[in-house]
Amino acid sequence: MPSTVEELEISGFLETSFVDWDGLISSVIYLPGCNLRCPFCHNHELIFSDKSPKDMKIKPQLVLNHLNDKKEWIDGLTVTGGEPTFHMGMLVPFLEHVKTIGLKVKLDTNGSNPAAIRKLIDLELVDYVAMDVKAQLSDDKYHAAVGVNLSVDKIKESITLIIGSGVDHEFRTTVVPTLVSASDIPLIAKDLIGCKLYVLQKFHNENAWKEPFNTMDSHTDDEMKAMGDSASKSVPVKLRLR
Amino acid sequence: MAIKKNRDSEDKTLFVRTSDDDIRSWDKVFIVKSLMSEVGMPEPDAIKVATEVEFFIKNSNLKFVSAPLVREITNTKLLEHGYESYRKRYTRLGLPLNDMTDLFFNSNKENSNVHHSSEAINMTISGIAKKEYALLNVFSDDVATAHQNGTIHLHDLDYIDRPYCTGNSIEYLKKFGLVMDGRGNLTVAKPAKHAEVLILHLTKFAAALQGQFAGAIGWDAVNLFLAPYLVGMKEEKIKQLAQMMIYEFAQQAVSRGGQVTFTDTNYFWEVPKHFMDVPAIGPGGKFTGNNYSEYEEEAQSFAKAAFEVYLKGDAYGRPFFFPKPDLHITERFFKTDGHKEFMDLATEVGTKMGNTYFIFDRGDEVKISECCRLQFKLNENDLLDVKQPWKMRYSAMQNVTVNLPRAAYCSRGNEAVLFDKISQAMELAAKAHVQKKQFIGKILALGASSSLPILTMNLDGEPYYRFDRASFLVGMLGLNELVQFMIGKELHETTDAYKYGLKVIAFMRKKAEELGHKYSIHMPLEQTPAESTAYRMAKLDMEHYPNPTSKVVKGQAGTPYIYYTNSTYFNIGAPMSPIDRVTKEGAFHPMIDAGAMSHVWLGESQSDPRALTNFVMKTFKNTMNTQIAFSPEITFCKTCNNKMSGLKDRCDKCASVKVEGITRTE
Repeated sequence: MPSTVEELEISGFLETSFVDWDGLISSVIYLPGCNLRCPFCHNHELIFSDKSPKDMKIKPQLVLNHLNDKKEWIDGLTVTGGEPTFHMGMLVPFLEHVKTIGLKVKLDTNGSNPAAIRKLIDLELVDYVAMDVKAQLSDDKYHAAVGVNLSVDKIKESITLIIGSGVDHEFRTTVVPTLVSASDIPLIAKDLIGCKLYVLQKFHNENAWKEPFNTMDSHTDDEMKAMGDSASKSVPVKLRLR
Repeated sequence: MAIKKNRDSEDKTLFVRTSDDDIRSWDKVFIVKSLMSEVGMPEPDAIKVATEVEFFIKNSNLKFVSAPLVREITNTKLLEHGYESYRKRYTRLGLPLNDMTDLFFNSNKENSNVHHSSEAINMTISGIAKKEYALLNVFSDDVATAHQNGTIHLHDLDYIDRPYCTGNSIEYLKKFGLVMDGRGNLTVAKPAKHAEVLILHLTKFAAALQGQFAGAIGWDAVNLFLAPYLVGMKEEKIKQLAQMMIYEFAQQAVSRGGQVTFTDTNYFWEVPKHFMDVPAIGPGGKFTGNNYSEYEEEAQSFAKAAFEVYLKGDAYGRPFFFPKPDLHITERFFKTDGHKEFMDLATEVGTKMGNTYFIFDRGDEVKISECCRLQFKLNENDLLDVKQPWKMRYSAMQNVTVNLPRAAYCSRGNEAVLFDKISQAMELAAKAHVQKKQFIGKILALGASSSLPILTMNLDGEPYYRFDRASFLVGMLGLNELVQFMIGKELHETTDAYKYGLKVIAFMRKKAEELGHKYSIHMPLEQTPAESTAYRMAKLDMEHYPNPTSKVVKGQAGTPYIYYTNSTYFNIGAPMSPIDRVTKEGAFHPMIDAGAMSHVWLGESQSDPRALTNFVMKTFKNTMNTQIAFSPEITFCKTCNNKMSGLKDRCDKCASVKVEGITRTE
């Protein structure tokens, strides 16, 4: 095995998930480090890669062994984070191994690194891309939602390339009160026209990173349904309420 | 035999409140008579004891004595004279006044399916007397002692005068109509002509059967056998019928202490191979002229409708606890159109409500299910019944569980001694079975005048209860703790521990077969449904074997909330993936012929039903597991009826703290 695979930093490993990939049984790896600072982040332990506790480090070989042993069961591997696309040097050879086992790969990404997404798609290393659209696609709103200055052009570029790639995908927005309003949703949906699926996720304050989000109330299910209806005029919509 | 009354001893001021609501003046002859007739005491000895009792009572300056008090004093005198065997048989069964007061004012917390009510109190009181009777008069001393000290557990002693559980066929009702009491003294109904009536016959007869069995009442291929009555019906009507059946079962709180009938309903998506060429019975109990293979569409419509009802839940959206739906997955299931969509529905019911039990019938296996996990694998003989499906009436007469950790403690870690101890416990279980069989046989021999008249009812050339076909179950408790004691690791921790567990169960299976031959009974292993047994045995062991027990027992050490891991389960809290759990637990299942299962705990996460369908199908294909169920955690708000996933302290909609958490007890 090339040394780069062994160097892939993995902070968390979930052997079996019935939640992360619709219809499929998947394993999930969590890669540390993220370029965004979303104040409501639920995986904030993973934001700073140098702060990952050592005992959370998982050996890539262990993951590959598990996937190989369980290939009769596991349909695919979900790669999430943090932001996985900042590990490309190690991630590419790792995913090549996963592909030789014969499993599908799903990439969870914040969409800020379109070049990496394009590369993974071109190399046919991903079968499904789930990209977050954190807010309405204006610099101001996006800045508030992701906590750093980020040009939404990058986000738009990722959206365009994913939709055009032919790879199965979904875009998803966690509807965080104060950061995403009901009136933003149909506008986001319009920017996603042509996509295969737009998922609206209900916000939950448990384990949210910063105040006031860790105590903030969510939208009600009825409000979520109304937002879903407004988006469904442009794109196929699915609600995740739990 | 002449008994001379000694008039001189009569104290005109002393009266006795007798057991039959009468007040009589004192006469010691009644004691003499009862000692002679009840326990066969010779007259001179009986007179001697009665005279001493009289002397004692007369010196007590009592105005009234009750019959129970006279009996208690007589027992004391019997003991004083060393008449232990007479005393044992002369004893009075029942409960202290204080316990009865407790029953009225403290609710029953024993059985998760019982709700406190006057009927539940009746059940408890009768249960106490019947249990005492069983231990004194049905079972031999060695068996009763083994139960009382926790070496084995005799299940349902409070229903000693009934068999344990039963699998039944709707065909019996379709063919013979409804004879509710088995004697025909109550109103008798001819075979149903309409689907509604058939469903009512079914639910009423199930409730009547519950009065004659201690445990579960199972019904085979419910959707298929209802199908000939559903021909030409619109989907909406079929849905209404499914709803009616489920509500009728779920709300008829009339059996065993005001509980609902413990019902299992078995479903097949395809027409099972063994029923395909069987002539169908339709309205009025007449053969329709078609075989069951012609009724797949109607059977599927009913199955789909029933699972939709389960998914919706009751008026508040809560799950129906009974009737349990058992969905059989066979090789043919995968070849039958629409199976994928139906499986998605059944899985959604499983993940959201927890109802669905997935039963895996691999190869040519044919099974029907009774309760939490009990399954009857039909043997060649049983399969002959299939041609006349009304004959498909099966039963397990009794269930006895072996305390495996106890065997381990007593072996002090020596494997040979361990297997010897397990053998001894199983031998006691087999003896208990033979004794119960004799007792039930004696009741059934009374025929129509017996206390089990439905079981003696004979409408098809043999009694409803096919005595000689009954099975006798041997369960096991705490395999995980046995292994932990013997080799220092739990089942999930090392391959050695896992293999040791398999070795123990393989040994038990062989031993059960051997004992079955020796005592001429069919004695398969079963995973014990033993919520309370798991606590009882852990508690007893903690008392009598505190050192080893405290090292392996689960629960909160130092509190009464301790237990052993059920049957051959792995530690519920073990960090195992669901895949490993169904695979490794499943490796035990083929050895546990009368039924085993695995629970897949979903907890709070809202799993994708289609991903779980995928999991169920792979469990069928990749493992030897015979049954799985999902165990979601759900919370209902009693204030606003909001339903939440996970166990919550307050409603996430209206913030009310009046919430009810629902999860499975194991």
